[in-house]
Amino acid sequence: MTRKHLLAAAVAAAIAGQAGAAETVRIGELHPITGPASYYGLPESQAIRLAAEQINAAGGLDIGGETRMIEIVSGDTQASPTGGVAALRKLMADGVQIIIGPLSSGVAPALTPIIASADVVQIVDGSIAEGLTDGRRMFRNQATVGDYNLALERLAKARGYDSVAIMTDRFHAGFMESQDDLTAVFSEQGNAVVAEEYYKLGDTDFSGQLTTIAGADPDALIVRGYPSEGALITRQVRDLGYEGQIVWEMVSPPSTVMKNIDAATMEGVLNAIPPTTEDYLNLGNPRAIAMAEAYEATYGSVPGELAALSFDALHIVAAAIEKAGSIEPADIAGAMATLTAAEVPALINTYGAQEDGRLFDETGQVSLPGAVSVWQGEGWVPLTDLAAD
Amino acid sequence: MLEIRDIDVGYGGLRVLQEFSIRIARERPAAVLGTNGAGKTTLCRTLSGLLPVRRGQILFDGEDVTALGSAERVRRGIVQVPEGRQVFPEMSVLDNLRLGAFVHGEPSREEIAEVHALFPILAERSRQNAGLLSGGEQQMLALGRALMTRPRLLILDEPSQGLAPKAVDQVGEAVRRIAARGVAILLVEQNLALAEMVAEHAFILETGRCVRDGPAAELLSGDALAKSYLGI
Amino acid sequence: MLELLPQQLANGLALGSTYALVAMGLTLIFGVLLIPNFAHGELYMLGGFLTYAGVTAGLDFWLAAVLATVLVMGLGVLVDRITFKPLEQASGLSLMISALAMSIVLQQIATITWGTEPRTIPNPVPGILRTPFASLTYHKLLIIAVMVLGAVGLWAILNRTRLGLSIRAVSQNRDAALLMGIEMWKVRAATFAIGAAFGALAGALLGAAFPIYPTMGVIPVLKALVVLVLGGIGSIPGAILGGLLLGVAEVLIAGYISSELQDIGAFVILVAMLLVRPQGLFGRAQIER
Repeated sequence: MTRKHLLAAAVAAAIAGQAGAAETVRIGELHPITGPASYYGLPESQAIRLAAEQINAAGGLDIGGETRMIEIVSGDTQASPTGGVAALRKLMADGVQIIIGPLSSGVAPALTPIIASADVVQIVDGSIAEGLTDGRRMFRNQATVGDYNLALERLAKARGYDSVAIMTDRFHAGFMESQDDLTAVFSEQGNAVVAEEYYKLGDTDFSGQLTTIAGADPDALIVRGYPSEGALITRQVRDLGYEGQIVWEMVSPPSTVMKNIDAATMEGVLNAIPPTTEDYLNLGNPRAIAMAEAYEATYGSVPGELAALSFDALHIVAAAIEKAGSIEPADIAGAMATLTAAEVPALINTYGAQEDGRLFDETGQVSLPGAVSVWQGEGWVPLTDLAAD
Repeated sequence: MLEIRDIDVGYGGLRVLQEFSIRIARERPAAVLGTNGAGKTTLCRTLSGLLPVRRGQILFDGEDVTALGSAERVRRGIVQVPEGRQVFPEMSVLDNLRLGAFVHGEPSREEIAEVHALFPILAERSRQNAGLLSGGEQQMLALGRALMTRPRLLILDEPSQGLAPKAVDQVGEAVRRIAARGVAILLVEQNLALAEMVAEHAFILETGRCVRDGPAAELLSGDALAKSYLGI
Repeated sequence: MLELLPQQLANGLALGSTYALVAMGLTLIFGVLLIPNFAHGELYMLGGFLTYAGVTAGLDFWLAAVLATVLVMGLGVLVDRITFKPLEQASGLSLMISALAMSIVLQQIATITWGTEPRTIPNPVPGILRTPFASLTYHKLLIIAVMVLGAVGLWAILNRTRLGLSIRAVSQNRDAALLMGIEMWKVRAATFAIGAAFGALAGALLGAAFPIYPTMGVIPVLKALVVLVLGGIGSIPGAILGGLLLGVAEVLIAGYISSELQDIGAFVILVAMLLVRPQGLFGRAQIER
């Protein structure tokens, strides 16, 4: 061996060694960090970074005996399908093969075909649209719209509503898709659907529909959509003299609600959705409290409603990587499919286990049953006894 | 009274008036004669300040008014009866007269009565919308409106256009009476009959240039006119 | 269902009054100056935000609304100077593009100043008037009242003042108006200020019941354009009647036919109007200029 060869070998070894020491596991996250849904998206993105920092601080990931740190790469969907596709392509071009997100039900279906044909593993932590997962490469730790309706259906049954009216945001694909199933279940249970009315995101005057609903005077009015319109609908239908029970089906930060309605009018309104970060905090969930404290210490604000889902998503990915002992997408996906809740002790959400104890079902979907909360004072409080007023 | 020195006026790449110069004295009503496209309306709009000059000067009573806006020229007494009358169709005859006096404030009863005396038809139709008047009546209104502005120089852009011969005579008669009050007249026309009735001095405008001028009686009857103006 | 008709009509008139209020400013500017001021929606938005800013600073709602309106009137004049005046000789299309650009600029300024999150002003007139036939919130009654007062005030300005005389003159024949010695910049400024005042008032009043956010003006301007076509472009009575018609139609469609068809219904009315009476309710068959 000549000196030249020796030198070349030494250089090669040096480069390899250095690369090994510095190499991180790159995890991409896709959320609307700017744009109209940033009030959901930014906390989600920050919760993921928080979880990654905590794991790194505790020594990083143990991948088959080798220690690696997590590096988060952010993509901004701006809550639009085109923005989402562009952000995903950029992440993939940067060599990211693990994706958490997206949030919006309008963005997620646009990403599915790209991810399905790439060497990538995805976990959706926000969108509730149907059909986003396959159990092979695409998973979700958020509820589906069907899960959303479960809580609503149980509430209507427990309270024995004779008549219900439904007011749905017709631009919300998830709610529109599940509307027929929901009314079918109501009819079966003896909750006669006396009025089905629609509106769209951004509307401000609902008097036409609400006069009809108030005229039908149902036991309950169910509002499915987003909280700004939900609050305006609640206020306007009360102005028209409706006195029945109002039930929302929407993730609704109290700050947004309070901008559009006074607390007295909101008092007693019910909300049937899977528990939010806020609910877990109210229930005294210790992991939620720890996360919220760390979040506030880092970012100076309270975590958003959906931050717990994003926080969990990163821990699920981390657990799957360690279980697989590999950072190959196929290996991670395989490990994720067999993961149990017990293998991810950091989880905040209380997921319902599958029959064989796994976290995800055959299609890559968790079970996250909805719950009912009631507005008291200036926020939502979990309702433990559905039948009680 | 009015002196135009070597003005150039145009739209975009088009030069409509070129090195155009004329002088008008108050006591000698003048006519600028030209065929369609000679630049007559452009001249009127330039004098009223609706079109900028690219070169040259406009002097009124010895003062340079070239840079003044249309409102200031109106205030100084440069008043125009535009081509096609341009009355305000959906306003009453009275409101049209009020607008004539706009730069001087609300007109007095006497001022309106004076115009009514000159054009009795305007008194009869006072409350009617101007758009409902006949062409001849609208021309009377346009003249009456211009009088309300207290003109010192009255520019008339083809007042005979679209009028029956009898109505043209009425217009000519009215302009003569206005001139008799000491208002300088600049009639821009292609109708020779009206020019003959009104003007004492005439200018011939051809493709943007003043090609000839002289006493109206001479110019309008002589061979020179036939050659240059009618293009024979 | 029919027993709800008085209530539905009241709903429609209240909704229509908001459309009329926004449309009056837009139609005035278009009717007088032939300028399609799409930035009108942003003046409406700024009316809401400035009222919000005033109320947040501790002012009484009414005072804040008046101050906001005055500020937006000045802003309207500025918008004209920046957006349209430099394009005096340009085509209508250029004016439209310039107007859209100004809309975006104003939205961005609002976004930078106040953020995208919706704000609200506490309702200055809480409570509901209940009658045997229909009930309306005092807030809606206020909007109807302001719309009526605004229309009467505008009529008075146009028909009883010298400023109004000059504005009408410009709208009927701009060149002749100039020959009367009317100063165009004054008419432009006055028209933009009055038009902006209607937008700002609508924004201030609606901001007291609905969220205020940077893009809140987009939909009202689209509705106002529909109103203009219905009522006749450039016609003030047309803007009022067109606005009320659209409001009542939307509510009746949502209440009696299907709320899924609410928007389609409005456009069916629009297309029907274009087929039957293309110049609109009060439009001139031809506009001579």
